[in-house]
Amino acid sequence: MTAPAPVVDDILRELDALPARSRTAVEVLWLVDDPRASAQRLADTIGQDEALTTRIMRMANAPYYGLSGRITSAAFAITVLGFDTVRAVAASAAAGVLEDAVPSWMRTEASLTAAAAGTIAPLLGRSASEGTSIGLLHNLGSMLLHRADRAGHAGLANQARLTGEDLHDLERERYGAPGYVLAGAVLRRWAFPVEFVEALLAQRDPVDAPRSQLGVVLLAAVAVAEEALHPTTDPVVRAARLTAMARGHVGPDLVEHVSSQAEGLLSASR
Amino acid sequence: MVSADRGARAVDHPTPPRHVLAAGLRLTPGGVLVAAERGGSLVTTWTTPALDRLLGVELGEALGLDLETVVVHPIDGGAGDVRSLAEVVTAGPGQVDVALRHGSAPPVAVRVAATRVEDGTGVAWGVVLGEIDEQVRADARLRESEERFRTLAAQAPIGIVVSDVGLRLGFVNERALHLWDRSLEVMRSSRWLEAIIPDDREIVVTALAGVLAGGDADVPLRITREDGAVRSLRMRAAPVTFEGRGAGFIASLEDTTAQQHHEEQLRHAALHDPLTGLPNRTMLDQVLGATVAGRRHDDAAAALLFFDLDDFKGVNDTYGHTAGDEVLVEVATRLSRALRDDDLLARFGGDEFVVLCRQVPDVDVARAVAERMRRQLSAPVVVGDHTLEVGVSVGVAMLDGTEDRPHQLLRDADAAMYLAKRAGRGRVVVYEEEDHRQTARGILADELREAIAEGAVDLAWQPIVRLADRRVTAVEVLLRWDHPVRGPVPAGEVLGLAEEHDLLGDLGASVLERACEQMATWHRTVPALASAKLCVNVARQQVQPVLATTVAVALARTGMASSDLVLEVTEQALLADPESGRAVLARLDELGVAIAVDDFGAGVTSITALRQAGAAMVKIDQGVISRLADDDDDAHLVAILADLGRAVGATVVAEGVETPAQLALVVAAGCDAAQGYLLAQPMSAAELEADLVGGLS
Repeated sequence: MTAPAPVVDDILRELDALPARSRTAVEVLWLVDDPRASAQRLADTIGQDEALTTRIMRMANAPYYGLSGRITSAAFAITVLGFDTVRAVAASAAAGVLEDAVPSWMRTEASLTAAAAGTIAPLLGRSASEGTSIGLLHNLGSMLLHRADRAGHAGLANQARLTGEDLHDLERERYGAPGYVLAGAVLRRWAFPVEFVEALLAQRDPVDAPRSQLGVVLLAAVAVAEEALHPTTDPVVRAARLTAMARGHVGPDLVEHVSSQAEGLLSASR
Repeated sequence: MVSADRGARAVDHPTPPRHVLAAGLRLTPGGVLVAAERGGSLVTTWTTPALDRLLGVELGEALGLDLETVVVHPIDGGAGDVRSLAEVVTAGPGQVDVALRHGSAPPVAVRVAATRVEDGTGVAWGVVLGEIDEQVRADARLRESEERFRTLAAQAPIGIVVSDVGLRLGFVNERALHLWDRSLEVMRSSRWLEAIIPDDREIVVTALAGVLAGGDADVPLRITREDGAVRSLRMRAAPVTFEGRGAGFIASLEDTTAQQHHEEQLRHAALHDPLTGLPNRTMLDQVLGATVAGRRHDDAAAALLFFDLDDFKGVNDTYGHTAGDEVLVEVATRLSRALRDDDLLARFGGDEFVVLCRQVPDVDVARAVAERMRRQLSAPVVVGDHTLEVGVSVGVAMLDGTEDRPHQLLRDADAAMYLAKRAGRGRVVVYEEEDHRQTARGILADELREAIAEGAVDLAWQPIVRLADRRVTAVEVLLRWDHPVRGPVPAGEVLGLAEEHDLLGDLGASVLERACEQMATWHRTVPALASAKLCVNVARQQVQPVLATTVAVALARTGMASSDLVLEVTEQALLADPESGRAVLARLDELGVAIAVDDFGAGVTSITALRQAGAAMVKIDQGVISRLADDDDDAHLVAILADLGRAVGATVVAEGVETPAQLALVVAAGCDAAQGYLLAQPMSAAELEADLVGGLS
């Protein structure tokens, strides 16, 4: 298989060019870091982009938050979701992976990880919004690679599914860097917190490697999502997942609950 | 703007040249050092200027420092748990926040990050000491505060839940977990809401959405536990919102199941009869009120069936109250069985039951339903060793308009039941307005007859006050009949009823004799009334020859002096039959009884009649007095009437004085005495005695 390494550079160049359709999303990315920004000011900005507004409202009305149908304004949606989650949705929008042809399994994976991370984060003293945020963005890099090289990346995904190889390894081989490293680069330039980016970059480190609490949250959430999507009987893989969950203060019981709660986060289609 | 090239370099993670790294590290605000083992100690082999500043030493003096000499202890924990920096560095990878002290320099709060490096030359540690600013310390304090809250909340005797975002719970204490009876996984999601019964769930979610928007909530709710039991809770919630972190809430959960159950029992007890378990009169009133209020013109008719057991008192007297209670329970059971779907059966009180039939096409159906129920009750009731025959009389009132009033309906049904009793018991009578009016008046007359015989017609007393010295010179006796069911019956209606049914003589004699007896007593026992006259009204129909005899008998029986008695006769009575009247008055005059002309000024006054009557007193009509102060003409009229009275040698009394202005005008007109609400209201004998002791106002 040819390795089109320029894909990564192309992606970064394209994102730096800030396509007009993502201008609002990028504005939101900068605004959430402004200590003077209020939910209303964010809502005013988001309100300029109908698709982003719809996405934020749909998310706040998801069963996950228990408020189905009760969120009727963008400002209230932002208040409920928290700035971290809003930033994650804005980042997905800016990266163009919300409405483009990204396979549904990727969005489902993001939703499940977000649902799990939002549950785990408070157990480790982090806000649920931070957890949801990192869960939503953990596979942003793979989404970007898929968007840029649809047939090639689909082939990698298929290969990983059939052979059990790690998709990230295959990505590294084909593109020179795995998706999460690409995501780290993208989010860093969008001024995401250093801890957030580092947690994202460390997601493939060994389970027992030292990491920040947010890193532990993500690792446990990824384990929950993987178990939900691809239950395993391989004792080694299962042990690794359970260890990751245990470090996040949760057990396999969370798998079923997360599955029923993730609908409407990122997985809901238009 | 970050360029694509710089971004690509970040992805590649290149390692910069060593001298570049060292130069960069020297510029970092935090102290950086490299340490290696030297003779069992951990000694710095490379340091940055910022480290010198942190340790409070001269530039370059930190190099070659033994890390055992640098003391660290918890930031906010005082001097306890003191270690050396060497221990912290070698303890393992990760970060730790400590207070750092070297020599006599003041302690500095730092975050220590150390990493162990092994290369061909041996083992070394790279250490970064980042100064902790106030924000970091505040965060540490906040975490401690949160920890304290969690410890407290975990052990609280009430349920406590905290949502981090939306309605997702991040914290659930033991008590809440126990109350909810769901797994921790369910609780730590939005699925905890599923335990709330659907009717309440909407209310709770709406209330909590309001809390997330910044309000407070205090809502009752019910949950179904895993074991199926329903529990009542009270949730009080307040927002926990940090701008930008997502909106959550904190809520307390109080188990109110026992309290609700108790209140439910109290509510039930307030609305049900404890013996039969049937709705009681209060509940009947509520349902009947709602039924009447909710009626529309095109609604089907409704009927009220009033059941009263025949001779139930006999059952109690003969077999005892326990047996009586058993009979009542059996009656309740049989009536319950005979009810149709929409009927309501209530125990009205004692041996009375009421059935509200909310849907009956017409009166014939209502009568048939009542008759069927009556027959159900006519079967013998076995109580212990006894077989009792229980009869029942039933009254039926129809509710077929929208103007009906609940209490009127009950009265009609009760009255019809009463007619059924009078008609021989054990039957159903439907209330018919005209028939009932006639019959009811007959019944009322019977009851008046009984009341007269039993002395149950009360007397009220109203003083007549002499204006010169405000002393009570006479007391007028008035009639009062408080009917046991209807309440007070107006004196005019009593007199009309008495006249219609030939009771006037008996009533007059009874009143006269009892009044004389009371006044005779007062003459002896109440000094203020020792010389007071007794004024008794005589109706026009009573002005008959027999009146003198009645008066003579009363005086003889009571021993009251005839000179203390004044009979009040209206102008109309004097004019009705002058011949006959004169004879009667003459006879009374012989007895020594004085005559007062009542309602003087209300009709056509004949000075001749006044003179012939030999009136010792004239009482100016209260209608004339009531118009005083409004009309100067009436003030003149009072003066003229007073002059007329005085001209025939009578004492002039103004009736119905109610205001100080009227009193002033009456005095100015030359009246001798007055009576009315301003001076004293009609009152009972006991009240009058009390007032005289206290002094009439």
